[in-house]
Amino acid sequence: MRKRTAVIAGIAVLAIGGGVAYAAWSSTGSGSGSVGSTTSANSTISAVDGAGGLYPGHTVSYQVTINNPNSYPVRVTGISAGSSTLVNGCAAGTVTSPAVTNPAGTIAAGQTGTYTLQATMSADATDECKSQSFTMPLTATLESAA
Amino acid sequence: MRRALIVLAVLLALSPVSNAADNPAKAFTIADVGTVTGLVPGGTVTRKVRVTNPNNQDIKVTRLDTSVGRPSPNCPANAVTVDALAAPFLVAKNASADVPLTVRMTSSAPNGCRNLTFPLTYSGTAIKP
Repeated sequence: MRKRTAVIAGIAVLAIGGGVAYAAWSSTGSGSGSVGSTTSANSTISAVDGAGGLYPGHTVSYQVTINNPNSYPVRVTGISAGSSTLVNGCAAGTVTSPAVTNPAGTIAAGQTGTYTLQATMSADATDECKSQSFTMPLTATLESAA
Repeated sequence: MRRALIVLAVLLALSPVSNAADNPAKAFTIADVGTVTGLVPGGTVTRKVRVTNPNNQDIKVTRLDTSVGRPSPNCPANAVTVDALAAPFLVAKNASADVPLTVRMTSSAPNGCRNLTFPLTYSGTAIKP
């Protein structure tokens, strides 16, 4: 009699266990979708008028602005070295500007940043280099500052 | 012994786990709500998804995971990630609920990640609340 009761109790526990599992039922779900990244627009470097006073062997500061046409903030990671082009008989390379890495600051979306660079006139600049405006192609690299 | 068999038969008949067709847990669905763009390196966007519960009982979604596909070999696989569900939420029977997910692009994402559409695959788990 005791054995039979034990068997019944065992079966009862198994069945109740099944019921508990049912009460805690779970389900799964799935689906698919997408998200898009934006593209980036290139910035433009512009000279700020006003720098002057170059003479052979001398260095002056000059400023450039870099715009940010993107909808997110950016930071300038580098501005290339510059070398002047030929101008009215003044040899190319008479004025140089060293590269700058990681200048401080960020440029907000749609805004413009101003950066100060250094320009040096070669010590052997000729007379043709007097009273000239020098053009130096520069390239900047930027990255998202979001 | 016969009594034991009778008890067993009664218990089996009462057991609700008799077959799969009785299982009320139909799979729920997860789908995008609208279009989301604007991911940039170091930035986040909110991707809203709609969870639809086809069951005649409320469900509580406890997990919602998202795997991100790789739309270009020039964009690393880990460039974009989606945060896990912030908190469990209820979806009423035969109804839908929208939930925001945070999508992140790593700040080191290269130019190869520009202007791409990243496929998302959702999976989730729900329990009876």
